[in-house]
Amino acid sequence: MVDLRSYILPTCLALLIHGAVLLLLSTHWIDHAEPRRNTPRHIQAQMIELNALAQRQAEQEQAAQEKARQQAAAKERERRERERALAEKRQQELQRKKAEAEAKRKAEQAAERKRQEALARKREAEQKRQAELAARKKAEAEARKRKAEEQARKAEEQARREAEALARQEAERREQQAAAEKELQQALERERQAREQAQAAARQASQAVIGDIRGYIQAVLQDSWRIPSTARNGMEAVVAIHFLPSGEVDQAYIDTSSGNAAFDNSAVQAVYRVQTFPRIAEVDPILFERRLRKLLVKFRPEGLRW
Amino acid sequence: MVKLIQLWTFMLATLFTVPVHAELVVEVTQGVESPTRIAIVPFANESALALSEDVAQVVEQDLGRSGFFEPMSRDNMLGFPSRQQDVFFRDWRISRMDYVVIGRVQATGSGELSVTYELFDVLRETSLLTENVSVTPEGLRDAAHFISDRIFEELTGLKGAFSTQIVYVTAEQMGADRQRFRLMLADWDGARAQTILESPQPILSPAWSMDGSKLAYVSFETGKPSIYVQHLATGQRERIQSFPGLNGAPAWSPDGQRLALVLSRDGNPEIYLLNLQTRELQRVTRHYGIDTEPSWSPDGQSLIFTSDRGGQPQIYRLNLATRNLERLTFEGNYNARGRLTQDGRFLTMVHRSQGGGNGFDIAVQDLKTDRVDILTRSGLAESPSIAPNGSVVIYATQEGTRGVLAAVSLDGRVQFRMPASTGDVREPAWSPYLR
Repeated sequence: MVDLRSYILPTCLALLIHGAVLLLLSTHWIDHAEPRRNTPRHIQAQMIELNALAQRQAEQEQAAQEKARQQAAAKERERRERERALAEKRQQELQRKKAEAEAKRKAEQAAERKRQEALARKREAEQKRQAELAARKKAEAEARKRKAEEQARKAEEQARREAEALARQEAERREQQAAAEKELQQALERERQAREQAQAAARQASQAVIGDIRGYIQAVLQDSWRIPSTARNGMEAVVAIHFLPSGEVDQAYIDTSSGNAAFDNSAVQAVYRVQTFPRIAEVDPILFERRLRKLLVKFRPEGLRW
Repeated sequence: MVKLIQLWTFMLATLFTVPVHAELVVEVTQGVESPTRIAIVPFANESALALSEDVAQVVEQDLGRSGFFEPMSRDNMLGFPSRQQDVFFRDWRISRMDYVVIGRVQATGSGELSVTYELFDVLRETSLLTENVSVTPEGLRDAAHFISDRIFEELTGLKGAFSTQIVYVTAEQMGADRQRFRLMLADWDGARAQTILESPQPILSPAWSMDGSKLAYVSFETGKPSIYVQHLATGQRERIQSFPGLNGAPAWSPDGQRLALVLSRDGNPEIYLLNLQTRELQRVTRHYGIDTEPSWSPDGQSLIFTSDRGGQPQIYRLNLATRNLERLTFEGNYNARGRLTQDGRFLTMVHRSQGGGNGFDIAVQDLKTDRVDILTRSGLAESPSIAPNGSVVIYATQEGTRGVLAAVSLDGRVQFRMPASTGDVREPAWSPYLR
């Protein structure tokens, strides 16, 4: 079945070609006496598409087969019709050659056309390729340009980013520094406050002690002070006392004079008369050093007659 | 960077700031109002002579009578050192002495005596004063007063008035109608009294010139009161003024150029100024009341006097330049014979309280506060006169029926009687600083 159907197309083609050849020959039969130009087939064939070639080969094969069949038939008929068939055979041969030439020419034309077409196609393709190339080049250039631009942009961006980063870093660094400084100051402030609090507490405690001692010294000195006759209300002498940690008076001297020698003297004497203030020896040594090593006593009589 | 420096500065400041405390000030407003305790150790006599005076005792009396000192009784002394190495401060401190005076009397080759004394501060254990005084054997008392002055000045800052003198008047009943009046000159303590004028007629109101060389007084020797000036050194005297009526109460101006006095030549007693050079007389007061007993303010700008222009005797002050008159006393119904201390602050006077209950006493008024303190309680005091250093007031008073001299320190702490003197003693006048 397959075989049978595969014959249909070549048969049809053969018939068509035959018809066409006859049609052509009917007009150009005599004129085309010139010998056929043997154009190398293989060149032509090269130009033909594989399909056509295959068709042609198939045609040739079919033609050969046909010929063989006809020859066989002819032989039989030769045997039977030798004389008469000879002429007919030549004619047929001639016709066949003409058809072949025509076919060849047509094929050549077709091939040429095809070649031209192929050329055109090729050109077109080339053009297309060129165009494509140009386009590609253009595209590439554009791409490059874009890329360059992109790169420039990127570089710019990068620079910007870097600058920003740098600025950010700088800002961060500053911020950190400021924060560190702030922290340091806060720490110092805290430390100061803590110290102040501690000091305040210590001060308070020592203040109490100092207050006590102050009252004590005052009481002792009031017992000891012999107000001279020359003393007058409003007189004021300040005596500086240097104590030893034992509470003993190291030295006492007039810091600010009243202007009255006897009065000044009585004040200094009041201190020396006491000689030792035992309670000072009980005071914490640091507090003693700070507040009691030297102190001032203001002698300012009140309620004198004059 | 600046911030960092600030920070560091802050840190350093906090690290190295040591809290600075103001120096502790103790205020003493009360004390014991008592005299300074001093021990006057008997001076060693190294002269091989019997001394006419106990120098230490005179010094002790001087200082004690000033009211500023409370000398230690010799009976309580643990020892009588006469040289520094023998002074044990600890002993004196135990005896609660503030000062110790030691001394010794030695003979010098020329028949004079050398008195050496030393003043120690017991509490500070230091020597304050050491000095050598050369005197004749008769001048030991002068040496003693001199030493008292030195110690007094060293310890009080005030010039001592122990070498000053007083004059006073004595009246001695000689018979039924006869009296003998004497103008006497003595040491400030009444010792070594000598007569500088003797009169059968009354002698009144002796007054010292400010240089201490002359006396002015009222004498009735001619039968009526006249004002005389007598030079102490020579005994030479002259009658200055004699007007009809009362001539009295002379007072020397501080510059010695003028005498303020009371004359009644124009009717009632008024105060006049007499220029001693020109003998020019200038009437100062002009009032129908009695104006008397003038005395000068220390600056010579004004006169203090007694006037009864207010109905009762009170003390007024008249500024001589501006003629501004000011009444000073308002307390009591009798204030007379006002005298100002040399600093012009205190006014001493004879005072009688409102109602006259206590009689006449010596009072002192603080012109700054107008506070009046009555210093005596006898009710018979008169004629106060102030020591030039203002420490003591001497006055006349009555003991039994006899007038005597007494003294009181200006603060009223110390009162003492002057040595008994023959007769009725009155009208003491304290000299200015002599020498």
